[in-house]
Amino acid sequence: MSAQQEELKQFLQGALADLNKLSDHIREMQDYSEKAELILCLRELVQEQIEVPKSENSSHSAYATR
Amino acid sequence: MKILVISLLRLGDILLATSVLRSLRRANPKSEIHILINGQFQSVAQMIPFVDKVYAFDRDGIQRIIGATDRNLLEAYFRIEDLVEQMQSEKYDQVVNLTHNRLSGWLTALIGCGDTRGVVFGSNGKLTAGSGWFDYLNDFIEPGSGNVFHFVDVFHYGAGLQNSDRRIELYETQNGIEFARQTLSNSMLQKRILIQPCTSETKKTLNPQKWREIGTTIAQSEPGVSVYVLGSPSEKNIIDQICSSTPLLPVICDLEQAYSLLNNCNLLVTCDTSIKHLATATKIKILEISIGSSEYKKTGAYIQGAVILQGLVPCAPCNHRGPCTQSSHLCSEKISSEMVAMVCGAMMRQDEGALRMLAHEYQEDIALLRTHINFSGDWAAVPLGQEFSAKAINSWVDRVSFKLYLQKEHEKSIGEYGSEGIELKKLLENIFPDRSSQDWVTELKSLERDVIWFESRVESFLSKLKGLLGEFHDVSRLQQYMEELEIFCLEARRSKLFESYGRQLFLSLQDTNQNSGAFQTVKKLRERLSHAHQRARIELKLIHGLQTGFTEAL
Repeated sequence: MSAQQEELKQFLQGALADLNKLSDHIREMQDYSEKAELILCLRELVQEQIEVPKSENSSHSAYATR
Repeated sequence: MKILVISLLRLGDILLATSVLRSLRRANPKSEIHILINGQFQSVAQMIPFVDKVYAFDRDGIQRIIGATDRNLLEAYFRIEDLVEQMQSEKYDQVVNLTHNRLSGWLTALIGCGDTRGVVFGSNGKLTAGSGWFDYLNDFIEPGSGNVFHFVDVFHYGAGLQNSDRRIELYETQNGIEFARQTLSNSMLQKRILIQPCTSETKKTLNPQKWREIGTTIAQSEPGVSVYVLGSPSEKNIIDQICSSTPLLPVICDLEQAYSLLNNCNLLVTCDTSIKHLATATKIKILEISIGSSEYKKTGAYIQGAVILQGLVPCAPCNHRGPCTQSSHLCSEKISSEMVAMVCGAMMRQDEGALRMLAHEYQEDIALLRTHINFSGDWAAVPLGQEFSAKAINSWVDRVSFKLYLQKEHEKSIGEYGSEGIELKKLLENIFPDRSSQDWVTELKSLERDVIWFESRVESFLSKLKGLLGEFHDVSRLQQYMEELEIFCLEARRSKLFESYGRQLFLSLQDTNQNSGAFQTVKKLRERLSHAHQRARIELKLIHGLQTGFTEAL
């Protein structure tokens, strides 16, 4: 893994840790406001970026762009 | 009425979702129908009928922001917020979420609509699916988990759509028509075979050398047939590698052009690709090679009469995530170029007998299946040359009982048992054409005995559970009960006949293990055991119906 990739991985893991803390707080407070739900969306996208980028949930397709 | 359909996966998934769009339009002719898809697939929108507005989720753009260390995550947050605000202003009457993941569940919640189908997070943060069919999808989402229903059927029933005509329909564009006319102008009087070799994941396809051998063998064994090898601009190098110094004709095109080519050719040979789904909207014959993480039962060619060829290895279907874990690509090694060419030949000649012979000849290496859509519109891949046994019969009885259960037919005064039973008998006779009525009666009797035994075991667990209701203070009794149930689940999962029950009961045990309260535990277990019990009773009714049918024929 290149230094750049390593830096990105650490950055994303740090971001995910922060978002996880926020998610836990949302769950504890049962505060499912619009802002909270947007944070939870963002958390899913960060997690997706860390996991396999071409998993079933990703959007890769050869015919996507013309 | 304004309806939104959410499909935030890949191109193939969007194409499958178009079937639901068509059904929604037919059920609500005056409604306004919108779709939310990933932005990079927006170009496909012009091929989709029945849609009044397309919303694009800029997933690529958002992921670029997230994946750049010098950008602020808030930028991504505001992008999502912008989209959500636009969609909230539409004030949808119904939202159908066909994307089974958490992100789409939160987005559906944010869009805000009183009538949602598919996963959505509630105001208490709990995820609900809104239908037993979407719960089923959740229980059987993992590869090899025993799922038996096609996504299109699950989507329809889950969305509450009852129509039996669920075909995929698309628009042909002028760009595509013109391209196909020019590309195929040299083979006007010939039959044409298209090969689409590349897939989104390498483990879902054969290597280029094997495709080269397949194409060449087909070209040699089918004289007078033109063989085209199809690819997108990003796949050009592989397509050139496959076609160089062979009679194979490379074609690089976009999706609209590919659709028009499919409309003008006789046979498509491919794996689990978006081109396969595109082909189901045309009249072309389809041979689908199902390997790697491809799960034909979920996403096979949704059309009557396609042929599926599956490499038989214990590790297939594997997980989507990650590369092949074997020392070599075992499932693709089971598939030879001669075998594929012979299947293509039989399909071109419409020779069902030859297909059955090939299924028999290669039964050690592959399964050959024919897709079938029954009177209710339900899709199935029917094996050609399946071994006659109680297990094989039961796999079909189990499937129908599951459908009747999920459709809650047992709660209606007059259920669909009769017509489903007749259809099941026809299907079984088609799979095992050479069996006598006596053979059927014997196997069904044996099956009946096993299902009665299973039903009584579930019933006994249910009645023991009732006894536990007043005994919550005695934790050890509940613990002992759970241990006994776990053993029963394992037995069911390992059994030849009750795997699907075992899986669902096992999942309920997992759920309850995460749940600390004794009352909640008992409640959940009771719910799941009652489901299993009701389904076993439906299965028995179906078996009795089949017995009557075959006994009358004696």
